[in-house]
Amino acid sequence: MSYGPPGGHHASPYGADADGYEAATVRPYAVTGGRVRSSLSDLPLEALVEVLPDAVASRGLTPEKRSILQHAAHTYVSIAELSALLRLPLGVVRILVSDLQEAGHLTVHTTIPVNVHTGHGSAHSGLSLSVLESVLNGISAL
Amino acid sequence: MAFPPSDCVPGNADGPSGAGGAGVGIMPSWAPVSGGARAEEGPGPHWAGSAPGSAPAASAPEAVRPAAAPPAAPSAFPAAGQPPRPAATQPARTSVLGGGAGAGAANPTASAGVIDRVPGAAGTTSPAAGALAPARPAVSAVPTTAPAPAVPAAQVPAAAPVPAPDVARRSPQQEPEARPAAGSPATGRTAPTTVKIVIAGGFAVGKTTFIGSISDVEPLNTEAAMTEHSVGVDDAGGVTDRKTTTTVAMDFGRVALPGNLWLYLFGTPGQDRFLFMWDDLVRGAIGGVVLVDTDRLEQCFPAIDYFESRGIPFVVGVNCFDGVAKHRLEDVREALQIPAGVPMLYTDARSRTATKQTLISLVQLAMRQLRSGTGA
Repeated sequence: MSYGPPGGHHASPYGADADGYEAATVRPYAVTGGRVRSSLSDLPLEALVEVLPDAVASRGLTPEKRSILQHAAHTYVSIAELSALLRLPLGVVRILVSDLQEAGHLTVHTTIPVNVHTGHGSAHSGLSLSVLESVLNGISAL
Repeated sequence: MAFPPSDCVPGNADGPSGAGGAGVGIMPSWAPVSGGARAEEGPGPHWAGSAPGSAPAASAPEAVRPAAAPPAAPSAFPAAGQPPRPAATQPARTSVLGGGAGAGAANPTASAGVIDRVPGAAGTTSPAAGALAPARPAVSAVPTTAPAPAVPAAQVPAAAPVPAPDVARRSPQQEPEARPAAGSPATGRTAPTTVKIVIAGGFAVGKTTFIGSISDVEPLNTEAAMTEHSVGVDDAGGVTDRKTTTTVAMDFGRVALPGNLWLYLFGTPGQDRFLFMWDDLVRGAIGGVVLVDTDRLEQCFPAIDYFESRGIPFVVGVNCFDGVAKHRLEDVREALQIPAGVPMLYTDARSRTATKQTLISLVQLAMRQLRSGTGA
């Protein structure tokens, strides 16, 4: 395993061919610059990332960030999917995504407002009845 | 019409779900199933036949009664998928693949536009029409100056070369225009609504299979840890020939539902030391499905405890390996001390229909709880 600088780190190790995390050379804390928390609140796993049009000029970004922009370029991608595709731990992806969000390269869509409390007295999902109904009908129609 | 809502009345949960599982148990896994027609084909017999004497839970009288009387259910579900559900049901078939109702509607109009303009172009410049029709041999001889390469009937030198490439250029140009509207949501400007359901259970109980049986995409997984320290620490439950340097934290899949909804299914990490991740997984989830392997009952205790203590709606699915129910649901319920309000049902992680049914009963439970305003 090599500890090359991030700049010289090619994106291919994230592909399906990399069969171990050790093969990905760069340690997670290096990718995040030592941070373990993003500046924003923790993004939900299923939050969808959408790349903004002007993110094309994404020079000077780390390979990991560029890779995120690449994966999210043509479709909505969730945090969890990015984590799987990039073979990076969820926490790392969260930090990178919120970095990119702050830099204006992408937006994050979340269905459920963070810290929602619906007053139902339980750790409730915060989903509305109509959403649940759509889900129910959707599953039934599959 | 689809599956009879299995757990309409909590008290009866065992009966109908047994019936649902019965029709399903012997179905080939991943079979494309439309509606519930097929599920109804052989309710009791298969089940009883496959496990003679050992599965009285699904015996005919009990199973049939509730299935025949779903109206007792909360008013919202006469039978899943019938007309009274307005907006959401309608785009159901059209938009499963695409980005939702809007995309589905946009597509036809776009293609109509293509058709509209092609004849229009042809009409204004008749030579183009002539080029497409069998050519008049007499005229083609006149202007040899026109290159007229591929098209045999280039009649008027000035007009002919122009419209022909024009038409050719236009249609490919329009197609990419129509495609993003349908295929790539990124240009559609409305992000899908994401919802999620957590699939819990012990190691190797079939969570990934369960997810895979309904997911649009191959289940993906994320990795949480990357140290060698997990070797010898994780209880692999007898499955020890796993990767040792990486630890798969959780699997997940995605299903696109009509109405621009994306349903994510997250499988919980099987290892105990990842319990801390559950808070993350569960935040904002519709609820949980606890898969139970009756050979290793104790493995699902943490999941049941977790959901129960946090008031998260959950159903218990007894995964029938080999399509055989080894124990009656009541016995499992008693063994696990699952409260009466928690629906239990047989399921088969390999069967899309059974998976669907399990998810449906969970969503129904979540709706009941939301209506009544109580947690668990």
